[in-house]
Amino acid sequence: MSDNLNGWKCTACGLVSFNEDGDCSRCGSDETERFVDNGEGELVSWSIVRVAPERFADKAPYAIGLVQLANGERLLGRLQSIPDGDEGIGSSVSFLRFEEGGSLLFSNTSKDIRLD
Amino acid sequence: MSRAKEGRAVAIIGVADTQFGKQNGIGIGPLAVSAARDALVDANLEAKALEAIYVGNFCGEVLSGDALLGSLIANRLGITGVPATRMEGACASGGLSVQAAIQAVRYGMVDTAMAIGVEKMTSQTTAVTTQALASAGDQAREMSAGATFPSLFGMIARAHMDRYGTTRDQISSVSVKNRKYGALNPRAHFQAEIELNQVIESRPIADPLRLLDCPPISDGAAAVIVTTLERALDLVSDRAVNVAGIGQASGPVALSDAKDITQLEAPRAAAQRAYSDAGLRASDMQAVEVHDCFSISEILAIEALGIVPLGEGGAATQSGFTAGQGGPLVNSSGGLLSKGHPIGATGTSQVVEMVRHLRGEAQYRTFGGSTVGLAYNMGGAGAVATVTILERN
Repeated sequence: MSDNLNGWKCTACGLVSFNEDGDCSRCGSDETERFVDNGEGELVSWSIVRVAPERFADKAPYAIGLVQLANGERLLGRLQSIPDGDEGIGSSVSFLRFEEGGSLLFSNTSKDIRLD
Repeated sequence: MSRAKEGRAVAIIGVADTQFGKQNGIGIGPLAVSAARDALVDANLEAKALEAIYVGNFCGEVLSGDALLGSLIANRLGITGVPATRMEGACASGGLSVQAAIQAVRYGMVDTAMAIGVEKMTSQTTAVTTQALASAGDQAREMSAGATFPSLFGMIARAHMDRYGTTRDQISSVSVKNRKYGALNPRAHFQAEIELNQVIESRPIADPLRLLDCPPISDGAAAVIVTTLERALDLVSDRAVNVAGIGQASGPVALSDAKDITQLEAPRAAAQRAYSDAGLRASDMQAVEVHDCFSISEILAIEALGIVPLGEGGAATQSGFTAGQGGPLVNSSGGLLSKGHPIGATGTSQVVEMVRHLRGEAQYRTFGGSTVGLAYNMGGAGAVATVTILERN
């Protein structure tokens, strides 16, 4: 089971954010409501970062994924393991925890190759 | 002759670019000025004839330590006092600078303006450069998770393969084609042809993208001088290249805000605006310079420009359609993949190539004369797009 994915949701455009409760970074609206989700979603696409920016250089290689939650919102986060080849798209993923800096970590399926 | 819908008719009278690649011992200012002076010679014009300059540059403060490039370059050109503006739109900074110069002349603010694009990238380590380039993404929502531009386009490539059946070989065929053309371009960073299996066997960077799916890190500058069509004909007669139409659009910075990551909206919107401005269609284009920041990007580009239907970009490339076999010649300069991608210079240099194409001055890579073409420049993952349509007089 995943942890609850708690944040804010823009009541105008539906954007979910976790870092701050302020004006929506997508549509500029200042109307937000609390967002609570079980963090279950599916993988829209993924990649493996092998050449990383300076601040992530010691973590490479690592997988990132674009995840679509059941409510249709899409979130980009790091994946705990590398998806199993081209089978990755459409596979189930779930929110695991917030990482340093507020970014998202998702766990993917058990058959995947663990990176860490 | 096609002419933009409103304002004064505008033409390009001078173009130049520097060698793209690692340029040791030359700073960002002299690099930009070198291209600017060559463009003045090409236009048979003195610097004092310039009434405004627009400098496309993405990351001068981080990559080369200089940020105030508008005034810096005006100073070095000896025209201190003219309006001098730096334009930033990530990898579309150069395209923005060209369109700003065109707009200034078109709407009567000035009669003659110069667009300069420049980036000095090779003074930093790859890790610093990768981080600087990542600043064109959404920091809070995406880049903070460790995403890089190669990985965003890796996700786009994987989704395009899944959705449309685009193959690894089709994607690689973009790199093979552009390296083939780059080998004919003496200004290109890479001037050697490559084989399909070299792309597929090259080192993975951001799966499924590999090293030869990515452009090199380059230094370079390019410059374009625009004036009224009337004045252009006086100055350079039939070497003047007409600006038929322009289009520009913004899009979401975050990839997760794209409605469909295989079909970015801003490039499509910019193209539609440019076609409408010019009264032309995709099928009228005989040569195009497109933003192949990765091999998959060229496939997305020809789909966004309406040159091929959605999902058919990979097959079209593999069949030779974009190498002049049935379709327009795509990236005869070698594109970003071969010519190089000095970020701020890229969009300006695309226009330089298209002008040379239409003048018949790039004969070794034109494969027959073209009269109408466009340059498409993109910033971020579809966050900024410019399309500039040019026509021979």
